[in-house]
Amino acid sequence: MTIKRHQDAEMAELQGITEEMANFCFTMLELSFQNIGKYDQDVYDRIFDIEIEVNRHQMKIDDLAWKIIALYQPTAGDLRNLIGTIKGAVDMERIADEICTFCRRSMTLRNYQWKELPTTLFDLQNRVKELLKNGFTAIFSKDVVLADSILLADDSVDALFQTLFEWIRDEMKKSPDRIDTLLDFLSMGRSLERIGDHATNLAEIAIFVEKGTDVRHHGLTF
Amino acid sequence: MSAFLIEARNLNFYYGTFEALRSINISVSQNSVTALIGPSGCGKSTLLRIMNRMCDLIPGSRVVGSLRVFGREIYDPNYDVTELRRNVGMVFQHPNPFPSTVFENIAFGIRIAGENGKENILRSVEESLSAVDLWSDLKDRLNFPGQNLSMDFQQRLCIARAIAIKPQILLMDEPCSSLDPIATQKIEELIFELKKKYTIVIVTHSMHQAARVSDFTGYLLKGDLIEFDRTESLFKRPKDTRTEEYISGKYG
Repeated sequence: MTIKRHQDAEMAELQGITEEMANFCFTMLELSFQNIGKYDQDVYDRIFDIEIEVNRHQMKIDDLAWKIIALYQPTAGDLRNLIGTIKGAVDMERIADEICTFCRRSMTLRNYQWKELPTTLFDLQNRVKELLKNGFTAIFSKDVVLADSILLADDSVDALFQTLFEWIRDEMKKSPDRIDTLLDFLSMGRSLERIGDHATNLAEIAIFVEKGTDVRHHGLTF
Repeated sequence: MSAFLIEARNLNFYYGTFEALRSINISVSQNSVTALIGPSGCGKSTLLRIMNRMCDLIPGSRVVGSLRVFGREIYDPNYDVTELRRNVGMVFQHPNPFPSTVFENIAFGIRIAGENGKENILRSVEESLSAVDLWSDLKDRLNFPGQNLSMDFQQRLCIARAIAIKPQILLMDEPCSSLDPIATQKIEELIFELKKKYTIVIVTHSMHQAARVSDFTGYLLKGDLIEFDRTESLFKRPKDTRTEEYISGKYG
């Protein structure tokens, strides 16, 4: 028999705040991608404002998780859920940071004459967006199969970033006068690649929470 | 009148020459759950019991200081103890139903309180059993002996008996100590429901239980109230190192 416990209400509140934080992150990502080419300052300002909300949500999550641990001494699935939530919030806060870095670099593109984004950077954007969406779905829907697929797809982000890197390196050799733009492309690509890493972390967390197994570092044991 | 239903100020209690409680200052808010924790012999049960004047008959016992309930000094010689106990119910460590039926366990107190109407008594029995989530299980067994129920049901029956006379305060002295974890969880959830209507003070050996169910917690040690604070604050950031040691299991 399952008894409705008071702590379930607090766990549900925690889940609600975490989902809200994830929605903020995804909105930031979408806005930052949509703003490429337009470089609208109001949109950037909105993204930076949302990032403050993301930080606030991380603090709320930490405080509520701390309270739940202090008052209810959660075990088993509840404990995994709490650990996963705290770790996931760290990833989300860093995702928001990376999106801000991506935006700051893309803002500088306004000043350059030559600012057409390379196709690979668009490919990277699309791939990362898909990974992040799936990462959030895996966590909130407890979808281990989807989480597994994210772990397999992480290499494709690394491969795209490698392609971008090689292209930038070649362009730098060919057109040293464009080096400022190319460095911004590199920084933007690096941020996207890191967001992909965080999406992978979310997938690993989803598996840990659901199955209690640690799949980080390709199944390394200790 | 004070915002607090129970207020102790510089309260001392003696068993003969032994000082069981020393300069206790505590305020209990309405519709809150206040937990008293501490190692054996710290005085937590004594503090609970003197809130209901249950130590009056202990030879040599003595209260010094102020203990106000509903704004009135309950150790005033003119204070009506019967009235106090009508408003301050008590639930004990071991379930102690009367050797009678489920119905009579509840109805007895209602009659003593002056209600004789059969329908009113039946309604009160139903309300009290419903409040402790026993009505659906026991409505067809009202003539069943109360002492033959499971321990969990017996304890809930005792809580129903306590609230049948509509007290404002419920004192609970380790109400889950003889129950298994599932039954304990049920009582804890019941405490959460009851605090909507009643003000509860609970003594518990389990600091985890105090953390789970209470709004305020007091930590007693050797007769002193070391710390009294909101439960969340006390379990997250205790101010006194002695509290920290106790709640993190480093005491003794």
